[in-house]
Amino acid sequence: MIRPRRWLDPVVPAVVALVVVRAAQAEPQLKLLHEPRPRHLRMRPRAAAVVTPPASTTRAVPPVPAAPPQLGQVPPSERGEELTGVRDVREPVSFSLTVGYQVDGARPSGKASLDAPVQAGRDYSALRSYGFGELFLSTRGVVLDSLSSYFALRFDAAQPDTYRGAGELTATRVAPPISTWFERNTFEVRTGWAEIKDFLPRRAGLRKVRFRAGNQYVYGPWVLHLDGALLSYDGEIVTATAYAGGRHSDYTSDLTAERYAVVGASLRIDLRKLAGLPIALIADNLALSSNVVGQADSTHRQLEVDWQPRKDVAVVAQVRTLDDKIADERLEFRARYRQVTNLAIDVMRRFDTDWRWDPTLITANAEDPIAARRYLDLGPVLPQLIASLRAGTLIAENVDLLARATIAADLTGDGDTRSSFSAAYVELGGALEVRLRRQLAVGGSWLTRQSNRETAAPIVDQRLVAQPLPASAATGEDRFTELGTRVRMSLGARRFSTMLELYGRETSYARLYVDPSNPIDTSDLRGGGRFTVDAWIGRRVRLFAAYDLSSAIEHSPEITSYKSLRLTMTGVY
Amino acid sequence: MTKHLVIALVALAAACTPSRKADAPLPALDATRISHDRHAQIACGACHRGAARPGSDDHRPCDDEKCHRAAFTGEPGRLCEVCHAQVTVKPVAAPLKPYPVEDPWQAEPSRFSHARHLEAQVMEGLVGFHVTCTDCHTRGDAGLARPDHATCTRCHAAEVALPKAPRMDNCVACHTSATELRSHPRLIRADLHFDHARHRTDRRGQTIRCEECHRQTEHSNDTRDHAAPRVERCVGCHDDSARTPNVMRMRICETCHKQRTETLTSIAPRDHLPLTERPLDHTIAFRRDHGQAAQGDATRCATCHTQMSGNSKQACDECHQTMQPADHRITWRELDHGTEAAADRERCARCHVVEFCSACHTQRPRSHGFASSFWTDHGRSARINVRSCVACHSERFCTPCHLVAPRAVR
Repeated sequence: MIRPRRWLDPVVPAVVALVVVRAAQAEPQLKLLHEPRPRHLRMRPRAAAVVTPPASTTRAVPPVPAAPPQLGQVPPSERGEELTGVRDVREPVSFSLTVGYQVDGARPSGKASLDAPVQAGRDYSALRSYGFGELFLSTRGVVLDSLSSYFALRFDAAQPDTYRGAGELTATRVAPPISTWFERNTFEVRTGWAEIKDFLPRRAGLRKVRFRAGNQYVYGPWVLHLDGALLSYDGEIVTATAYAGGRHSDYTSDLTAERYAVVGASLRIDLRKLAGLPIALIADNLALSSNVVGQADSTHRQLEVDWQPRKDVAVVAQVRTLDDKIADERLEFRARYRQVTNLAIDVMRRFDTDWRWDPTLITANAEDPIAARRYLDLGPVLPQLIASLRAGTLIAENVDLLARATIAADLTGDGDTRSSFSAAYVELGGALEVRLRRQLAVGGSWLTRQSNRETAAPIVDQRLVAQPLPASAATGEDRFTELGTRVRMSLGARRFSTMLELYGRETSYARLYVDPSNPIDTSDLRGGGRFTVDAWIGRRVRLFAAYDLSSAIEHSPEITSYKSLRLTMTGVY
Repeated sequence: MTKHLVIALVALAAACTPSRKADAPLPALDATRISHDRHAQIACGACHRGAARPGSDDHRPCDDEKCHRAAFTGEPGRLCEVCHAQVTVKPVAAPLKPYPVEDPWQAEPSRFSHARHLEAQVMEGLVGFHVTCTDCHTRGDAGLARPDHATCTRCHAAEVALPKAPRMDNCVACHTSATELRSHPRLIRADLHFDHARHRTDRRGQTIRCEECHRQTEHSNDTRDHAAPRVERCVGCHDDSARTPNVMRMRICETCHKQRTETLTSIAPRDHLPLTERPLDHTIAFRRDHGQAAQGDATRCATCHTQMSGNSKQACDECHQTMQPADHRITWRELDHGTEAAADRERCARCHVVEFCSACHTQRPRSHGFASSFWTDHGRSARINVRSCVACHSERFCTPCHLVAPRAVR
């Protein structure tokens, strides 16, 4: 037996240790020289594992994130902050002053009118300029928290043109180039009222009482301009209003003969809150009395049922009486879908008991003390039925469409005298606007009306011989068609915008006379255009200019056309 | 004719339909995401060990025997896709998906109240300073980082011991049941691109505060009601030349969209327009029948229509005293208004009383010329439209000459 050498006993461990230490101190070899076999695949069975379909999850599919709502879909209560960037109506004082200058013109063409020459300066003014202005002031919570006010004023600076011939002592007024109702230098308060509300204690609902006094508009059986006072209770279920004062007659400098004493009241009961029915009942009563001879007193009443089965659907039925006789019946249907689609259907039946000129002038009077009324007579009130439909929508946030149709029927009985001013007609119209670019939009409109009048045998006209007059119901236009187009460029309503509009109208009148030697053309074709520029300097100053121009008017050969230039400057606070 | 008109309108509408890529449903759902519902029996900490991705420790604990061991020892399958973007055996390639996930609207919802964290006084008392947006949302060069657990830990760690504040080891204090899904509205979707880093300051160098865009954030009590900014917010700055360079204006689609469409389809939606633009609902039909809407919300009208006070509901006169209908053109005063008055006198009476009419009708018309032979030659006009005479002249005026009339005008 060979016994190992004893001296090797300490050497072997030393060598091993040396090798191990050297190996440990050496740079590790981390580079993969061959692809290691997957650890787990060693246990892979010969048969390929069947890939199981993913287990059906019980978790519902998470919804795709929605886009944030558009501003138009945001409730008004949350929208206020957004819109204050345009104008904060909660400011205690809002003020606006506009001054304007306008020039109207109708240049003489040198041709004769009515077979005779018309001389500018003598028969009419070829050019007329005038100044005007508007002022608005509204306050909210100034002086008193419960006090608000609104004040609107208009001023005019217009001189009537006159002509005084040689040897004449007095000057005669001549017609303006384009009709205007005012020729005066005056200030006129259009509206001026102060209102207090929330000033009474809360008990018994007195907090909902408001009181308004001054020159104001009241919306009852019709829109009434009133100098007086209004007391209202605006509750959730009941809204009651009472007012009294004198009627404010607009557009006239002589108010003395136009004063009517006005007393009215209205009551609105909302059954939605009271009985869960989506119905509101509204009753109005209005009485007018006048001390002027020939101006009859009148009493107007109106009952309205407003049914709103849905938020954007309303059916309104109205009946209005004049001096306790039914004067007007109306049925309206209005629907709105997704903000941009609107449908409105109105059916109105008017009786011969209704007002004649306007709601305050109800009867014809041969002894009318105001001669002016003789020069505006639309004939007697005749029963009429007018049904109209209007529908519009916005396609793809861009194509804006409107279609409308109206049918009017003359309900005058057989044997009764008909009038030209209540003829039956059919009206069709439409409008379209498309934005081509963000700032640029083009649009067009179309309107046509075909009247159905009495037919009468044409009257043979002989020169310098007075011919008989045709029946009223046979006179007037038979039809007209109007086309218009406009291009609008806008950088924003309070920045800069400009618009060009062109339009034309072809009218055919009833053929009542024939003249073999001098054929009578009973139609005319005319048009016009308008160009406006609206520019804001900052947020306070607005400049506006509009130029209107018409084509030659076939029935007014004495002038080349109508034209008008309007310039305004507005300061806003 | 009608058929052609309908076809033309449809074609026009189709041509004008703007691209709605902004509403495209993106990003797509990731169906491979783990279902927390099915792991509800397991404690959160059993998988989420620290901030690292669960399974990052050589697939532990996912490959535990009681869990998904079979999936880890078999053919690579759908389970791998939970974490890996791609799994191949040869060559070995298994890139990981980002973690935390990029689409947080699919993540577990957390109860987080922006309103509470932005309450200055409360935070002052709790942590000693006013918490602002950037305390959690760190602004880095790449954009605005979404807060992670580490961010929350700074205040919610157990060691901080904030009174009444959830602690990090209490997962359910923040994370709600997995069945509650998140459906946050997102503004940046589809082909939109946005970089918070480029919205630190405006053109003038002024800081753009977070709340200028995220207006509703300070009122948000839960992540689910955290509203995304609306496009109108973008418009406010991107339509203001003082705040935005011209090359980044709203009218340039590429400012936000990856590509622009052509011609008519490039028209921006209404919400891309400034608030001073005509509102969406102010269609032609609305302008024709706006009375009911105006009665309901006069304040809204007054925002743009400067002559309106906004004080009262029934305020038609405040506008209609100065704004006249579109058809009241220059020819209206002289020629057209009579036709309309004859057709529907009630339309006139809505604004005018008889004095307005008679103010003009008492004036001698131009055609009547003082020195002309109107008395003998007015027949020319009368023959064309005799109603233009009888609107002013009564029977008494005509009969002295026209006695032979079988039927007088009136």
